[in-house]
Amino acid sequence: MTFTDEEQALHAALADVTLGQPPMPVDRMAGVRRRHARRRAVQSVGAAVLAVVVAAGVFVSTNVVGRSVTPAGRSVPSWALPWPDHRDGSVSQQILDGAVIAWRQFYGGPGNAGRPTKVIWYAGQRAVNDSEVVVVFELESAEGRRLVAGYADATNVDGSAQVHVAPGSSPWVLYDAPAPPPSYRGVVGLNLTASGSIDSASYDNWIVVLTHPTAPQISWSGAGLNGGGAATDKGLIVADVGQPTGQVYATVVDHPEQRGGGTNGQLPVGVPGNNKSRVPHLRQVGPLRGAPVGLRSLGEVASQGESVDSNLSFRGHGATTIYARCYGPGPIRVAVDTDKSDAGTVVPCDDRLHVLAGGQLGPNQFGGKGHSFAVHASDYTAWRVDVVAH
Amino acid sequence: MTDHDAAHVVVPFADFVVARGQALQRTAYLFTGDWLLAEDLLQTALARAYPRWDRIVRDDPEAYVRRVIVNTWSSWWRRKWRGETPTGQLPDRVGSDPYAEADRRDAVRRALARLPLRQRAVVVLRFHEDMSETQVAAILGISVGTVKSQASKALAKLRADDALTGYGAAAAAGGE
Repeated sequence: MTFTDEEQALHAALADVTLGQPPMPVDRMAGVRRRHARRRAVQSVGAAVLAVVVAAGVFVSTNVVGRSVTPAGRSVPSWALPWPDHRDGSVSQQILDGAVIAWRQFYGGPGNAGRPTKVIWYAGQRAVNDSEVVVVFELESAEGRRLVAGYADATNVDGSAQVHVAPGSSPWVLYDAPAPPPSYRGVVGLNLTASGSIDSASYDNWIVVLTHPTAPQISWSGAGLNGGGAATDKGLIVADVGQPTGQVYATVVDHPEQRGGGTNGQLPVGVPGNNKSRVPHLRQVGPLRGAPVGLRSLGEVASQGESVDSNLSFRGHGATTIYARCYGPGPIRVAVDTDKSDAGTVVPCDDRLHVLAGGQLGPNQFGGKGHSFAVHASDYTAWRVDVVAH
Repeated sequence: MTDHDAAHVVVPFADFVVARGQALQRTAYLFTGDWLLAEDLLQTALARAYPRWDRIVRDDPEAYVRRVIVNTWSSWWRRKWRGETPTGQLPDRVGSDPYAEADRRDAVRRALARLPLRQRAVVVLRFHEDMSETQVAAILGISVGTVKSQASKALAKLRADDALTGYGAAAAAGGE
C-alpha cells in the first residue's frame, strides 16, 4: 500500500504517541485470569438460577426466544429439510450472514466453487442466557449440500465485531457435515456452555437440539446427568442439562399420531456426521487433595481432551512429580517439556488422585523461558493435572 | 503429531500474552488515550479470548483479540465514555522548550481524542496497524468507500488541529 506524505506523517505521529508506553505489567496474565474468573462467576449465577428452574419439573418449557417461527410448511428447495425457520430477530441478519462467511473461510472451496448459492436457515438467535448466538443452516454450493451448526460468543459478534480481519479468523465455532436427506427425522444438536464459564468448576453443558416440527417433546440423558426433557417450540429446544461425564443423548418423542407415539431412540447430541460436535463440556474433575502448592508447582490445570499449558515464569530443573486425576475413556499421558509422541507419564482414569514420577524439566519445547507440559487425552476424558518440581 | 496438535501447540495463551501484549496495548492506547485504560481494555479483551483459546488459536488469534479490543472499546465508548474528551488547551509553545516532544505527542493524543469514534478507529487501524482499507472496512462493518471518506475527514481534522506538524520530516526520513 502507498501512503501520501501526510498519511506517512500520521503514521509517524501515531508511533510517536505510543513512545511513552510503560513496561509490560508483571501481573498482566494474572489480571486476565481474574477478569475471566469474575465474568465466569457472574454468569454462573444465572446458570444456577436456571438449574433450579429446570430441577423443579420433569418437563419444562423451552427457553427459546421464539416469537415468530415460520410455518413448517414454508417453501424450501426439495433437497432441504422441511423444518421451520426459528430465527427470531434477536440477532441481525448481518451477524448471521457472518456465520456463512465464516463457513466459507473454514470449509468452502476456492473461488466460486465454495460460494453458497442458496442458504436455508433453521435457527439464528441468542441462547444460553443470551451469551451465545447459535446458528443452524443448510447451504448449497457447486461442491454440494452441507449442513452447518455452530455458535459464537454474543459479545464478539455484536455490532460490527464479527468481521474477519484475516482469512480464517472468525469468532464462530462451526460444525460442518454433509446435508442429511429431507426425510431425516433425527436431531441436529450443539453442545455449548455459557461464554466465559468454561473453566469454572460449576459450568454446565447446554444443548441446542433441533428436530422435525411435529415432535412435541425432546428428552435428554447421559452419564452424570439426572436427565430431563422439554416441550419443543416447533422442534427446537435449548436447555441447560447440567454437568455430564460423557456423551449427551437426545430422544425425540414423536407426536402420538406418528409412529405410535414412539421415539427414534437415543441420538447423540451433535451434528449428524460430525463427531467433534458431539463432545460435551464435561464436569470438571475434583480437586487434587494433597498436591503441594506454591513455587514448585507449574500450575494446576483442569480440562478435557488435548491440552498444552506453559508457565513462562517457572524456574526449576530436574525431576518432577505428577499429580493427576481423570475420568473417562483414559488413560491420559502427561509429558513435561517435550512434544515427542511417545513421551510422558501414563495416568489411569478412575477419578482418583494418582501421584507418579514425571519427566525431567528441560528446555521449554517452545523456546524461551519457563516450562510447559502437555496432556494427551481423548475428547471425552476430563482431567486435572499439576506438575511439581522436586 | 497431527496438524491439529501442531496448531494447538504453537501459541499457548500465556506465550501469546507475553509476545503480543505490548503491541496490542499500543493499539488500545491509541483508542483510549490513557495507558491505564489501555491495559484495562487489553485485559478485558484477553479475558474474553482466554476461555476459547483452544479454538481461536487455530486461526488468527491476534486478529481475534484485536477485533475484541475494537468492539469492547466501542461498547465502552457508547456506554459511559461518550462524553469523555479531554478539553485542555493545546500547548502553545510546541517545539520551543525542553518539553516540546512531549507536548507534540500530547497534541496528537488530544487531537485523536477529539475525533469521532469511527474516524478514530479508522485512523488507528489504517495508519497504525497498517491494515488495508478493505480490512478496516471489514472490522468496522462499513464500506470501503466509508473508510476512505472517514480517513479523509479525520486527516482534515488532524490537519486543522496542527496535530501532524513536525512529523512530515520524520516521515520523509522513514523514521517513526
